[in-house]
Amino acid sequence: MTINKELMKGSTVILILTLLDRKEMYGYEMTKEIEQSSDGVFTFKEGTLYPILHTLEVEKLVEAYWNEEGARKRKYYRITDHGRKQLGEKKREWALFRSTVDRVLGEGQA
Amino acid sequence: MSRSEAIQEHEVVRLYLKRVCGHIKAKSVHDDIQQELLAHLEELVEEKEQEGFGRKEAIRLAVAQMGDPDDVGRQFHQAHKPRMNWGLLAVVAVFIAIALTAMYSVQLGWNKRIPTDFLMDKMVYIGIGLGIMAGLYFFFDYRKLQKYSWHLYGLTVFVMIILMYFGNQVNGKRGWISIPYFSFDGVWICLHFFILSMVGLLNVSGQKAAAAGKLRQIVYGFRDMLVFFALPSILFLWMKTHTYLVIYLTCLVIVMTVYARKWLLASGVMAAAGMFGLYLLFNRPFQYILSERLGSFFKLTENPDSIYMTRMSVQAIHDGGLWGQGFGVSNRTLPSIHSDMIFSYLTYSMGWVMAGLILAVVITFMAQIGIMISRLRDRYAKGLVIGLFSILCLQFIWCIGMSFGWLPMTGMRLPFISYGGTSTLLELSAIGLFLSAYRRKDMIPSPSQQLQT
Repeated sequence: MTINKELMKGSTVILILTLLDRKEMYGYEMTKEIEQSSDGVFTFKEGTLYPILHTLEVEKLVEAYWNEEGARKRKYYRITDHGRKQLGEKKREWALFRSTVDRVLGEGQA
Repeated sequence: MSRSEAIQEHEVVRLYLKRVCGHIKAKSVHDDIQQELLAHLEELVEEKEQEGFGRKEAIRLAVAQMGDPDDVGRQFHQAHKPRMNWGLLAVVAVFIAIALTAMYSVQLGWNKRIPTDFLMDKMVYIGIGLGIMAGLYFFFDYRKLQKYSWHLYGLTVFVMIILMYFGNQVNGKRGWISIPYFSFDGVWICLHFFILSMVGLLNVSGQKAAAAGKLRQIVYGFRDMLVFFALPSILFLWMKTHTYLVIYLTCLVIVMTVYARKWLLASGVMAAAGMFGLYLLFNRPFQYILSERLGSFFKLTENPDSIYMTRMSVQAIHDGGLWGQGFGVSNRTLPSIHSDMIFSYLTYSMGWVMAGLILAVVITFMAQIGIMISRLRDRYAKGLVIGLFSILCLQFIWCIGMSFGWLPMTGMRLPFISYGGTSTLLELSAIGLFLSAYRRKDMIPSPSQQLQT
């Protein structure tokens, strides 16, 4: 089963920030990480990741820098302090959302 | 690198990148975005090839996995599109409204022999100023200015020297440029250009000095003292514009500390300025000016002129009361109600309510610029805003401060509101430059140099 695109949209930022909270990463690495840790449930058109990253950079939630590894140039992203704060808020918001949806759904079934 | 070039050669990839970038108006980020997407495609192609696909097929699959280029391009454009600082624009609009109200009131209350059409003149200057502001916002890429910082500096020094010999005198002040219908305070313009060039030079020399050795840094330090402190100071003194010198030096120290973080250089400037001030204190021709301005303020000497003005100003503010003496009222005792004493006059005629309104707008303006500086990502853009903003701030604080009698009385206009062509044009141009910097804040690529963690 795949997840609806609209549903996915609301959670990409929290996913990206969570990944970057663990370590600095480049775009391709992030798509692989998300795919693997979700057991392939979360797949998305990979190009769409980058505008999101650029928006986060403009909002100063993440910082970007180019790094050369051998013949390869990669653009790395790292989370800022401001980004960490935002992530905390988003996580709380998410927890509330999830528990509320569960509760409403649970009552609906009963 | 050879691999990525090989991928770029393929029509599918080229087309994909072209369609993405076709949506992004900010051309300066195109290269950065293409490189990034290419790097991703490379990895994907490699992955597909390892799965056993041929190169051509692998590339086709990789591009397909990236998704709709129009979609991605539009989203990129959203991230990098031009920005408008509506908050700042709104504050400036309020300033203009206050200025026009003030000019009309001054015109009605003007009791000098020669009538002046303050309102009309101010409207003309504001009109031209708004034109310059819009031009700077839409068409002027502030980044181009940095390259010409030395040129700008040299030009400013040259203009100051020209002004010394060929400038006109207006109200006993030297260095004015007169053209039919208009005359401009050339030295005041030069002060702004000095600050602008200084920001560019400090930004570059800061990067250079960090890489240089000890000896080199000392040489740079002496050069900076000469270029930023000594030569402009001599020129301002030469033109007998002492207030401008004080403004210039204060802004210099602000830019050096807050922006360039060159504490040593800043303390050098302050020490040199302090010694120079002491020298002036014991030097006859300047003794009079200093004793008049500072002495009377600190009540060391009795100088009737300065004390009189301060007393009249404080009296006018007091007499204004909550709602004022009335719009367009005359004040017999208050001098230059159209420029230096405009805050006192407006309080006199429209009361403490008007004073409160002006203070609130000034504080909002300062907060707006503060937020704006924190949002700018380009260092040079930050410097430009800090430099010009410090000139504005100093005028606001000094003009209002001296009206209350808290600071020495001197020729200091209230930005945006006071009468005066040169300052109106310069202030609106500064706003244009701020908006130009803000407009392009997201249109620049992320730093290409490697940053250390």
